[in-house]
Parts: sequence; structure tokens; C-alpha cells
Amino acid sequence: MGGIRSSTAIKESFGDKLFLTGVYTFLTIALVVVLYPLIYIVSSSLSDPAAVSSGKVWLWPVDFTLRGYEVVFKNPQIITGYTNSLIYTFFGTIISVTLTVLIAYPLSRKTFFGRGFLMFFIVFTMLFYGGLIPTYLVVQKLGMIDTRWAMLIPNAVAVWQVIIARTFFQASIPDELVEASEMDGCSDLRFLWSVVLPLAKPIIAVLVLMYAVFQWNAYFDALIYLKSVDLQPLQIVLRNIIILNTGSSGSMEASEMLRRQELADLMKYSLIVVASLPVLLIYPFVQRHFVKGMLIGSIKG
Amino acid sequence: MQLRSILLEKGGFVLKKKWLLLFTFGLVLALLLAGCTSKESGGSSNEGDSKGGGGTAGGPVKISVFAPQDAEADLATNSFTKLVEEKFNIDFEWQTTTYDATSAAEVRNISLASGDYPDLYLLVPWVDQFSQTDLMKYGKQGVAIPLNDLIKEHAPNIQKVLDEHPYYASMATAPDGNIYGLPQLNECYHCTYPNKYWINNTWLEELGLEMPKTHEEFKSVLAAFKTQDPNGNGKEDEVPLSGQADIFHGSIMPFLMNGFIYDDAKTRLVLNNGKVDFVANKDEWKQGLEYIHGLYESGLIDPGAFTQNGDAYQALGDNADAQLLGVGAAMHPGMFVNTAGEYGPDYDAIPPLEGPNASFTTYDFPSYAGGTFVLTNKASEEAQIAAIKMVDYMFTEEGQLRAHFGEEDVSWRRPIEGDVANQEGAEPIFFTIPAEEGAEPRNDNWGAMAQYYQPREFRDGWVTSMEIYEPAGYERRLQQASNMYEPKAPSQSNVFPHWAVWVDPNVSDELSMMRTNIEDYLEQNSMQFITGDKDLDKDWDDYVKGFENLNLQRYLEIMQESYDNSNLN
Repeated sequence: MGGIRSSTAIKESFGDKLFLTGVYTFLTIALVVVLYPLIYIVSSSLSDPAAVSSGKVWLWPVDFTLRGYEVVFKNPQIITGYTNSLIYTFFGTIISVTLTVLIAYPLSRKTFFGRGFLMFFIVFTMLFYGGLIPTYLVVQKLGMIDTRWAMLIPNAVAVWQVIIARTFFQASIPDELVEASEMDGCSDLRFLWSVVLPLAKPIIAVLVLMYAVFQWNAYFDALIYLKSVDLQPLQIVLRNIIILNTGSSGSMEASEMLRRQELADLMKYSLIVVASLPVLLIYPFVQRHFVKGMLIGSIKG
Repeated sequence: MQLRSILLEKGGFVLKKKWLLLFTFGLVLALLLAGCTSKESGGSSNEGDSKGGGGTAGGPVKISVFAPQDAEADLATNSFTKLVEEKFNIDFEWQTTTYDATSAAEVRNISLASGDYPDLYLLVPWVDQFSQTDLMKYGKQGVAIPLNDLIKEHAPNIQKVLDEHPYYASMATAPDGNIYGLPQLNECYHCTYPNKYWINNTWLEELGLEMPKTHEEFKSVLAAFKTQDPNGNGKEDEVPLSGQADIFHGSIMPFLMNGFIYDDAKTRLVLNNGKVDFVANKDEWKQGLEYIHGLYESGLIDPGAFTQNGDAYQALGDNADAQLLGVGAAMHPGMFVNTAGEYGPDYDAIPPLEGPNASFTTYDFPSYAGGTFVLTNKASEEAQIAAIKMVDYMFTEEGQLRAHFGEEDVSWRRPIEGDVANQEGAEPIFFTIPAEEGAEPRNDNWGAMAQYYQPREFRDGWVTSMEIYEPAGYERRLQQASNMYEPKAPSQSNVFPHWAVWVDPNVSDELSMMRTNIEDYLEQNSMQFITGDKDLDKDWDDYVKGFENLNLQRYLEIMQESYDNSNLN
């Protein structure tokens, strides 16, 4: 059988060939579209700022220099920001994933009392929002202004992730499993820990990645809740340096403007590389689960 | 059954995991509780700062300050901060925000709306500051306290400046007579004539052309730039004239329009014998548009001038393979070219052209109306006095130099033999010592946050290099260019001083809506007339009528009233 198949299957029909060529062309274009900006930014970060701004850099570094990185790593605010961002991302993700699982799992059980009611309230917040000032006041009254908690607690649970996780649990943990373990005297918590979580690795990976990226990029909360410099995450520092106040730069002193422009040119690209590195590093490890978790979550929902 | 055996097999492991689980729960619980406890300490310390702070006799006065912080500065350890704290017996508590304009404005507004505001706001005008409307609103609410008495009693230097600079005084004083916030006084000379054209002098030389003096000559220079290949690469890729769309002095219009009718580049209002009038519906304006349309039709204006932002403009000016830009509209060439780069020295200002009807240049008062120094009702009396004394120090020459530039003989020095002031003939006052490349930030000044007192004499006395095309002589280059523009500015009695005019809060909403509508309509139509989307012969009457529909009459009335009520009269 095998021999026959190999001799017949080798020849692909013209249509197949055309199709495959099409697919490969398309994928190559997609690859280039995604890859080019990444290479451009890395190359720019290694090039002389003057060469970048005059458009000499288009693929490979021109006038190779590491000065951008030197300046970035010399700046104390960037180091502080980096440490803070790592702290917020690490603890924020732990808190968020724990809380999300703890709300999503009960909501996935049909026997859970008040399930529809609770779900309604959760979804309600997706559509209606108290507004910026009331939210700020709540955070303020909770005493979290200008503390690390302001970055970790107010946005700890995202409705969207709760729905994804709930759907996953509903689809992949059959009721029979609960019944069987109940027969054996397994408590709810133990069931969650020993049965649900091991089966839910893909969705946990999804939650971890989504929350981690969200925390890493969190900018607005830090902007309004944090006032001390030593609590600011990297994104704030980043913006402070890169943004040249396009709209109002006209009213800036000429000398001031030139100085800021030079600094921004020098650090812009190296800063972007440094700031996106952690996310780029995590992604390949989680990505395997990512697709699986998302698919299961969405298809069977 | 199968499940049971799985659980049994993993039994030992499960037990350990249970502890882990409990531990995780405990951790989350502890975190939440910790969040709650910090509330108490946070709350009480806030009150302490705002009220009890100055209470203890002899101890430093606590002042909480909201301020933008630069990426290279650290306000808490800044040596000027230390100096001020010692000199005025203050203990600052900083609440910082970024230099990013939109974010900084948002944070300030939230702080005010939520009632969680500091004792003092110290802002940077071009990042974010209290607008005049803000000042009146918060003044009425009692949040921003009037500074009049404080200035009278504790700030002789501020009082002197208010007395001697009428524009500044009317900028600072609300219609009810109160000063709710201090603006910065910065009479930046070259910014006073912001709408300049910068022409490529190597191209002029290359083609053997003279500096254009009239609109006709200017047009033929642009045509020569376009067709005679001044960059010598054999291609007709030169861009004769370009500008930037998102700032008023990047617009290509005012410089040319000023040969027909006075264009202030912002409001398009003028004063005729004390009466406010609008220029953009006059026949001279139409002639101006006709001329600019003529340039556009001959392909002499870069279409990008109406759409591009600063980055695109800069990329055009710095283009690597061949120089492309002939004439750029900007306050200074740094807006479109790297001044330290290859093309940096190539651009010289064109003196205002002799137009068919007139020869003006746009005048703009270079200080920004609003408030950067605002004290709130949370500040104790001691804090108010200490704060006003501190800013009063910045209104002296010595204090200004120390606050804005840094330590003497480190960041700046007094003039020595052979130093020439930026304005030739003026008394040299100071020289700023440039930082060495790669050196640690000095962190010895408050920079733009402290730029309170820089009158014309002060800025004229800045010692700069005589090499005007070097970065160190850049300010001199701008000064010399502005010397050619100054004589062409219209008389003060014809300029509508929008920076010094306060609008009655009852009509300010109405006015700002009309103003937006009118200015948008004007910009949009000017562009359409220039590019030829609208025909000046056919569509002009409709365009003029359009202003009636936008209630131009009422707009002028309000402006007239506000001008009459200002203390400039």
C-alpha cells in the first residue's frame, strides 16, 4: 500500500500546485509584513540617530552604534520603571489569574446558586461604566492612590477573560466528572485544584499571557493613580521621553526643543526594543497553549 | 473508576498541592487586607499635608506640589529644590506627572474634579496649564485662591513686573480683578514674529538668484527651484515650498497673506480704531488666496504642507539622498531640518515680502495666557506665603538664572571679556554652559517650570556664539532673522491682543464653540481655495455668507466686549 501511495501521491495536480504556490506567496508576504517593522526597529536602535532621521536606514543598521542602549541603561528612571513593570506584571498576573479562575469556575457549574444573576452583573460592567472620576474616587477612598495596589487591584478581573474561562470550563469539564468525584467524597476546592486546573492548562496559559501583556502595557492607570516617581512603570517613562508634544512643540523654546529632539532620537528605538523584549520572550513559550485554549474557548461556547 | 484511580495515584502529590492552594488563598487575602490598611495611613497623611502641615512652629512648611517631571530630572533630589527648601523653609511633597501634554492635562483635571488636589500647581505652559476659563471656574469655586494680597504683601518683584508689563498684567488679572494664577512672562524675541519663511541659501547661490523681495520675485525663485535642478541630481524632485499642518507657524499662509492684509495666524482678527474686525472675508484676503492658489497651480507648493505633521516635515527636510526642500515655513529651521546636520546651515530667513497691498509680519505675544502657578484652598497660610515668596525669587534676575538654568559656573556663568550679547549692542548678562555629551544630567534646575521672568532685556543679554550656523549660535541666528521682521509688525493698536483678553464665563462656552467652528471653516475653505477644489470667482460669495451662518457677528460682538472690558483700555 505504502509503495503505491508514494508513487501516485508525488505528482500533484496543476490546481494543487497553483494553490500551494498561492499559499506560500501569501504566507511569505504576511511574514514580511510582520517581520519588517521588527527588523527596522532593531536596526534603527543600532544605527546613528542622524542616519535614521534622514531615512538612510531601511533594513540593516547604518553607522553601527550602541549609544542608544548606553543612554537607556544609564537613565535611572528607566531602570526603576523596568523593575516596577516587572513587579506589576508578575504579581498582577498571579492575582488576576487566581481571581478569574475563582469566579469563572463556579459560574460554569449549572448547580451554582444565583449563577444567571451574577453573570448578568458581570456582563453589565462590560456595557456600562461608572466613568473616570467616580472610579478614581472609589480607588481613592480605598486608599490605593499612589500605592502599588492601584496597579494590581482595580483592574484585577477582566470580564472578557472571565467569559472565556467560564466557557472553557463549561465545555471541557463534564458534569459526570463532578458527580464521580463527589461520590468519592471530594470537596469542591479539592476538585477545582486536583481535577479542573490540571485539565485547564491551556486556558490558564491564555489567561496568564493576556493578563501579563495587559499589565506590561498598562499606562493609563499608572498615569492617573500613581504620583510618586519611584512607582511609575516603564510605559510612563517611555512616553515621557519619546513624546515630543507634537501639538504644542511649537511653543517650546527652540533650544529646549532641539535638546529634547536629540534625546528622543537617540533613545526612541532602543527604548522600544528594551520595552517590548519581555513580551516577545514570553510569547513563544505560551503560544502553544494559546491557540488551543482560545479555540476550545470559542468554538464550543 | 478510572478517575478514582488517577486521584489515588496522585494522592500524595495532591496533599502537597492542597497546602499550595491554601497558601495562594492566604496570599491573595493578605494582599487585599494590606490594600485596606494602607488606606488609613494614606488618608491621614493626606490630611496632614494639606492642613496640619505648617502648624508646627519652626519646622519646615509642608507643601504638596503637582508638577510635570522631565525624563532627565528628579525634582525631589534636584539641587534647586534643595536650595528653595532651605531658603524658604519648605518641605515639598511632589506629585509628578509626565511631559506628555494630553496625559498631563487629564491628570490635572482628574485631581481637581475628584477633590484630591495638592496645595500648589507648578506647571509648564507648553505641556499643560490652567486656561483662563479654568482659572475663573476654580476661582469662583474657591479652589484656586486669589493671589492679589499675597503678592502685595510678600512679593515685591512680582508686583513690579505687573506694574511694568501691561500685557502681562492683563493676562494675569481676571475680569473680577483677582489674580487666580500666575502665567509665565517670557518675551522670547524670535517667537514674537513666529511666521517666518526659511530659504535654502545654497540653492540661491547655485542658481545665481537674489533673495526675493516681492511676491512676484518669490514666485520666480520657487519656479527656478522647481525646474533648474538646484540639488544637481538630474531629477525634478525638489519641493519648492512646504510647511507643517498641525501648528500655526508651520502654516504657509500667513507669511504670504501679510503682503495683502494683516494675518495674525490665529484669530484673523484686527483692531481698527479700537473696533474688532475680521480679515478673512475681505477682498484683500481673496487676492491673497488668489496669489497662493497661483503658486499651488504651478506646482510650487508641496501638497503635504496642508496635511503633514512634524515628523514628516523633518523627514522631508533631512532627506538623505538629495536635499529636497527649497523654502520651509516655520518659527525656526529646527522644525524641519536637523540643525546640527548636513543641511542645517542652509536655511536663512526671507525678510517679509513687499506685497501688492502691504508688507506685514505676524506679531504674537510669546507668553501663554493662563496660569502655571496656582495655589489651592488646601494650602495653609504659611504654605501660601512660602510659595509666593519662592515664585517671587524666580522673578529676580538672580533667581531666574538659578531656577531656570542651574548652578552658577556649572550650568551658566556671568559674561567674561569678549562675550557678545545675543542682541548686538545689548548688555551681556549670562552664558549657558552646554552639557558635555554623555554626561550625567545635572539636575540642578527646574527648567521650563521656572521660566517666570524673562523679559526682552534678559533674553537679549544671553551670550551666544558668533558662529550663527553652529548649534551654539543658533539663538543668534534666530535673533538676527527676527531683527528683519520686527519693523514690519503692525502697530500695537491694530493687533487684536487675544492673549490678554478674558472672556466672560457666561459666554465662554458659546464663544469657544463659535470660535472652533469659524476657525475650522476658515482653514478648510482656505485650503480648498488654494488647491482649487473651490473656485475663487464662483464660490467666494458663498464662502463669505457661510461666516454669517456661523454667527460671525455675535462672535465679533463678544470679542469686542471682552476687549473693551480688559484693563488694556
